[in-house]
Amino acid sequence: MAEYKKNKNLEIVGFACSYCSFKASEMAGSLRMKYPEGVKIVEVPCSSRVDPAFIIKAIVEGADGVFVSGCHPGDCHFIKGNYYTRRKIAALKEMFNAFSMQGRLRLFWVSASEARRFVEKVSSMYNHIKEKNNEREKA
Amino acid sequence: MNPSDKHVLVVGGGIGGITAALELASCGIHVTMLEEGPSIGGRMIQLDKTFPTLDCSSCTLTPKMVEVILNPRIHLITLAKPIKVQKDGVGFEVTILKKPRYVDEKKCTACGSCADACVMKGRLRDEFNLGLGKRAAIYIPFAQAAPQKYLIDKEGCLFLSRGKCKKACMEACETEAINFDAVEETITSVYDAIIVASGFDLYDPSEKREYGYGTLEGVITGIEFERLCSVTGPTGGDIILNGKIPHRFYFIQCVGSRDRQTGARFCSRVCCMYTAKHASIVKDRIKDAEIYISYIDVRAYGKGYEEFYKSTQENGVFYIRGIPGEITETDNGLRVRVEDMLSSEMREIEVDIVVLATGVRLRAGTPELCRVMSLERDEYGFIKCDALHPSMTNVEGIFVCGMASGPKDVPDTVASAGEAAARCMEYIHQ
Amino acid sequence: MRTGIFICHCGHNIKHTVDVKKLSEYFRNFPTVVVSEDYPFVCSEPGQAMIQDSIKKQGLNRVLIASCTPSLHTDLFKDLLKKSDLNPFLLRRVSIREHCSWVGNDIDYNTEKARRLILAGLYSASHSAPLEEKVVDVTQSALIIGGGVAGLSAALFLSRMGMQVYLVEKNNDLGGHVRKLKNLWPSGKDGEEIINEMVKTLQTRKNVAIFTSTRITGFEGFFGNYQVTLSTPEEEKKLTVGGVIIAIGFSPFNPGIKPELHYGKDERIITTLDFEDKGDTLTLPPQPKIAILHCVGSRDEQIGKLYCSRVCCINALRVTHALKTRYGDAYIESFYMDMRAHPRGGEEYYEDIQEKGVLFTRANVAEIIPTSKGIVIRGEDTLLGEVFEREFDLVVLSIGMSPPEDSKFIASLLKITLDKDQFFLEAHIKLRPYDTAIKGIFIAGSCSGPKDIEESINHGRASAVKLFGFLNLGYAFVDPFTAWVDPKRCSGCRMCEQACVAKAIQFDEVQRVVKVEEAACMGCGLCNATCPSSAIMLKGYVDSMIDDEISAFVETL
Repeated sequence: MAEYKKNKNLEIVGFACSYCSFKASEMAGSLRMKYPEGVKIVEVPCSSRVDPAFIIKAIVEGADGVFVSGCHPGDCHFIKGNYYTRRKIAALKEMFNAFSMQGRLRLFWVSASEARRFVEKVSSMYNHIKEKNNEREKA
Repeated sequence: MNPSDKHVLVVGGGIGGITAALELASCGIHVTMLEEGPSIGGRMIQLDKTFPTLDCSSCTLTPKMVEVILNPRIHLITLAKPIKVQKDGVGFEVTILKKPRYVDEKKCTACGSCADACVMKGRLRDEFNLGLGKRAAIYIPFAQAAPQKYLIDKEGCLFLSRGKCKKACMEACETEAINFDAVEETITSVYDAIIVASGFDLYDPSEKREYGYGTLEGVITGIEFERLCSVTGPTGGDIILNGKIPHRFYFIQCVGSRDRQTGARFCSRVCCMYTAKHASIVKDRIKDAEIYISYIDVRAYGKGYEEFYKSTQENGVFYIRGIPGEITETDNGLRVRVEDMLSSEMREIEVDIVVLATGVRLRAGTPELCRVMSLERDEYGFIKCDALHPSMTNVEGIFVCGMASGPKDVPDTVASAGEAAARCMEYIHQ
Repeated sequence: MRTGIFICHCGHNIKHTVDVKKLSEYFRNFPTVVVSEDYPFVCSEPGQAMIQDSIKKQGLNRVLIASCTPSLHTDLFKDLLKKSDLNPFLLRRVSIREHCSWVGNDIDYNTEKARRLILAGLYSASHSAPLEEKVVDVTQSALIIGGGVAGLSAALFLSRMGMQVYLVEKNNDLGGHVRKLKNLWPSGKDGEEIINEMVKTLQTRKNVAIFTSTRITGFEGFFGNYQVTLSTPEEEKKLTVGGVIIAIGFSPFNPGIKPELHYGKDERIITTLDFEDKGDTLTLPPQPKIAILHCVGSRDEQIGKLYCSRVCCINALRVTHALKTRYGDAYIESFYMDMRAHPRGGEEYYEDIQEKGVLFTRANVAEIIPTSKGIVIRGEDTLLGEVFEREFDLVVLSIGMSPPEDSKFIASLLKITLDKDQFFLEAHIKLRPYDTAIKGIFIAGSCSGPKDIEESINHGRASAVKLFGFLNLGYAFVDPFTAWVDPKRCSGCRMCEQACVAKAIQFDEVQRVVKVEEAACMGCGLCNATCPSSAIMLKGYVDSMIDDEISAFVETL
């Protein structure tokens, strides 16, 4: 199983809000910016729609990492949704850390025109996890 | 105002006409759209990609075309144009000439069996592809045409022009849609206002002997190059000329624009950008391509244009300030002679293909249209209007938008069409 | 479950890096998939006809379209389903273009990714339920923020069409920048004349309320019913409007941030805007030497302004012309990078000015140095390939357009986005240049990017027509993605009620469960994520759908 994962792409599941981060991911596409193929995005109206249960499900079913992205604080289309997201993810991160899974859950804010930022965040997360996986194989 | 009482005529089915019609319809007004050709889509549907985002042109336009077809308040008449316009109170009485399609639009399913069977298959000049491809006498201009119906080209059809043909098309047609007895129709109707969005043609550079267009192989125009890049074009989107993939490209800007010699002093506004677009497309598809672009000034003035221009340069495209004086043939291609004004040297560059970024001209049928409507034109032939009242013409109740009133790119055409719809609505709201 | 899967090639945009044929074949094997086809342009008439045909012939009850991103053309496809007597919310859109073919390099990996994405769509399609579109009443009034030429044009149109208009301007006077310009090109008119005409007409209209020296300080609500708070130092006023047109214009670039220009250090270095103000009172020596500098504050990597300000070449020519006319014997030299004289008549104007003896030098100007004698310009003539130093009596900087001062504030208040240069971002750069991502909010004039007067008028009126089209029926259809409670599962813990930002959830004391106030529900889904019993669901984004998407995404081989 471990060998198999090294050869194929990592699986990253992302949640992006319709108004900001999903739009940024669309723009990244329009601008033909490239990021790893293993990244797959679930569109949600607001990042606050993301139930921690989804994130855990993704990990349990085999995702190497999960990210949640939403509007910058203060810019949420639903006014305060992203504040709730921030709190939930912070709590979930504590749990991830306890299981030595730092870095496998990321939260970042991207506005609709920040395609480059979206690609950078996603790519750096992917590469970081890939490195950690490689290190673990070696160990 | 009860909008549903009002009826506006929109002449032209390109992006300008389509935008104006859809805006009017969304405000409750009835629209009749006339399109001279067999399908709406204008020039934009002939493009592969649009600058600066390199968006697929068809993908952005075809949904709008479908919206027009499906909109209950828009009545589209293709192969039609106005031949007489008379004032009728505050509105106009318009006589429309509708050319026969020879195919019953209600019965045609666009299956294509007729074109397959036609004896002229592969022998007639395909206008949509600017002669780069061939078609039959019964044809559909392009696969996504709206309306999705075939038509017969009277001059090319053996039966219609000479009376002699076995009419294999009729045999092949399973819905009996072909009707050789169709005739021209004239329809007279009254409209509350008219919007002219008759679009543009590209300059024919044959008169510029120094470029060898029409005499030298490998010299083509920008719009022809666009068809080569398009997946709906004669090569399915592969950039192939005379059976070979060119690797060395030379693009010449300002052909037929800013040109005192041919009298076209104006700037065509889109060629700098479409050339940069072409260069990007080439770089994307032909990895080791060598690309040169000759320019006088690069007009990358719109949103995102300057950045696109810069990234094209950074991608390894060589911009040469200076317009070539001559193009000659060599054993294995073409030679371009140009004075590079930045390095002050005379250069001779060998390439496989030369693309002339031709400027815009008023569309062929428009001078006649203007005569019919008594519209004034400016010294270049474009319909006259002024900057503070952008869509107003010299005739009250007739408005103009898009390239018909002067060169502009797609976003400016869309905005001008919206403005024309606004001005038109104010007029009929009296 | 009878699903039809339609995979678009999008010309070669998808086909190029995703094996669409392999995919359409693969999905044919699924028990719930009755039709699986690929086609060049699914959004075109024949593409639509094909889908419609399949729905009818195969009795489809779910339609999955794998093509471009869902924000494009969804209305069109929903209409298609309606025409085929299918509920439009039984449509599933999967993006295999912006999120797959365009962002991945390898055809095998891309195809595999597309497979997972479509699989996710297929699984979640089975949880799609028919929904009814919400009908909301809309207020037939418009708020226009900004009283410049774009805002005035929009106000004129909307009021003419009988709509109530609220025009808000933060300054004392209407007219924006145009009011201060004299001898405009090509009309020759003064800006004041043009503005006064527009304002006079507006003032006669009974359905126009003009608020000067007023700012927007509050903004809430949704399309058709925006609640706006207007403030002056003395008072506050609340309004309800159906839509908004933002026309707050631009800020002139301040050359002070480029120290090498020494602007502000010598009164002989002025901007084109200064020329409007003081042009009449300039005192120059006989046979003055005047320099005009193009591209100040634009196309400049150093200050992070890469964009072209579009109007300054022509504006510079206009000022050059005025100077040459006034000082017939002046030596005038214009320093430019590219001469962008593209507007109607611009080319001829440029040639005429050259014929009058104005010198045009293609150059990169490095520095402007005021000395006791004259102003020295140091630069490189790019055509001659030489460095030069020349002295002038007057230097005019043709400044560019910077984003309006309040762009960040308005963007944050109205929840719309700014582009990388801090101008407002349009919904689609080609076909929707004055829409924003939010229905009912438009952007007109230079606040979305540099424009001249004609273009600002076009945008002002075009956005006004669009807004009118949205509001004129008095009602509008809105997506029904609101929360819904299953009373059998609700334990009455009221956690959702506490969390709800819109205060759309109420507790029913009698039944001991919560209820959702549909009209107030914004559709964020926070309640769904908060509920421990999965009793409250966000329609269109229910748990089972997202669960299945996740499973499909990480499906291990």
